[in-house]
Amino acid sequence: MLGMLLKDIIYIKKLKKTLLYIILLLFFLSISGLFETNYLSSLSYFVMFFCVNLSTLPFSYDSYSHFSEYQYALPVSRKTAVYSRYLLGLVLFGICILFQSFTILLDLFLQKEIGNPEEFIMIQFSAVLFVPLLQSILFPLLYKFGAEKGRLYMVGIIIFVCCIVGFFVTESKPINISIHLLPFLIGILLFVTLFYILSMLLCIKIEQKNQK
Amino acid sequence: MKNSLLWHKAEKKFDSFYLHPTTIAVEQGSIMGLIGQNGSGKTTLIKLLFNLIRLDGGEIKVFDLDSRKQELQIKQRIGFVPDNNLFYEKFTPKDIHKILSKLYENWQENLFFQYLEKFEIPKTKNIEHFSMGMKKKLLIAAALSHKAELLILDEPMNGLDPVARGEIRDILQEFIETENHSVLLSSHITEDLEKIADYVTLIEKGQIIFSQNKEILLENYGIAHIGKNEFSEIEKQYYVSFRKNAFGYDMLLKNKKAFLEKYSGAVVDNAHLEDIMLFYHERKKGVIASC
Repeated sequence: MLGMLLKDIIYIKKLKKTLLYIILLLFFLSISGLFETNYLSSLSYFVMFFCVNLSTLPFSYDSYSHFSEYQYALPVSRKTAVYSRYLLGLVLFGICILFQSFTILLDLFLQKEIGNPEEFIMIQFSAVLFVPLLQSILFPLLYKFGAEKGRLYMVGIIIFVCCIVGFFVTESKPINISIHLLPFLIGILLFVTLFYILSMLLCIKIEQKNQK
Repeated sequence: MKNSLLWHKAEKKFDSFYLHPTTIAVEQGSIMGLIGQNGSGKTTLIKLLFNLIRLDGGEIKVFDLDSRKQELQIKQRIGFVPDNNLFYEKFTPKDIHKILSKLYENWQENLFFQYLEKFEIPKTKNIEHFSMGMKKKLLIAAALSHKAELLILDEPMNGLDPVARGEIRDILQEFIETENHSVLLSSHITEDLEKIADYVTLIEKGQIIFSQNKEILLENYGIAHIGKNEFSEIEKQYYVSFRKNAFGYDMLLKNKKAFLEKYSGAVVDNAHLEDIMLFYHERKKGVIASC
């Protein structure tokens, strides 16, 4: 598994210059006040989407270089290959958490208008959970339909989910989230963990079926 | 003699292709050449062996182990060289070393870098800058650096110049010098196989035409050159197929000795693997019937 994970990390490392430029650009945009919020942690939302995107990149590279065609000629089982992809997802999720923690700390130091720091921290952290959630949706699509088609389906699904969430947010009455924040955070954490595991099991099934 | 590899009644059905139940054995210590035109089933046989595609019938044994049940154990002992470069073009040989050293239990770092040096492959240059020959040699270096006992090469000579092909033949000869090592070499460039293979298997449209010792094969087969007037006298049992030319007919004989005993005045040349492959292909196309 380590070999497969390493391969994907090397893919991503090859993009280090491009990644650095994008992060720098986002950093300057977020401190410029161009976005509605002045919080630095808003930058981390871009980093989150960026990390989700990065976790899908190896699928494209494998397909492009024909590695996906012959990877199982190496001593790697289908299960292991899937596990390594989810492990990469977790590594990138970890990077998001670190980045989020860093920006939250900076915000707490630099911003004086933050009313309830605890609430602020929890909301920012619960947002990071979108990374494994999106990965859980995206990975089975990529395994099922391949890198190119899978991404198209993903865009469709994200738009659909955003519309549904948008509809409920505008239609439902506002709730005092600060009272329910901790149980909400724990609940969503459990949900995402379960979803991640189920998605991984589904990918193993799909990959086994992909053997013609 | 022990077999390194055995396809036993291996069968595979696709919508547009059927690999008929196939039995081929690769003896330990030998080089088996797998010949046939594109789409004849060579790569299907290799993919079945690696479980890249599902076997519909029969079984495949590698080192007497079941290819499906002991898949990972087997793959640790096989070196594979696919027809295309397997790795992302921005990778360097050093990156490949890092990855493969984590996948193969017996990966030998020193040996890998020795091969790179021998093949004059730079360690830190991106693969995208390599020539076709260098890419092939890199794959071979990787396949040889984990104490593989069986080397499987799918069209390794494709697109290579004669010098690079000669180098690859030398590498294979060197590999086979170790007693328990074997090679399966799939190629449609028969010239190379004629030089190094001990056994040859011809596959046509998913069916094995023959699988036998190369020396015996080349000793038995021949090309007879027959005049137009004599052609009708030749009994069909002596030849596989024929080709018409300006002066008469060329025939592929299965047993040139027996043919010469019957038709003592006939002109018969030795057949090359390429001739054999072409004449069998013509037979499949139904040339006999059309002439």
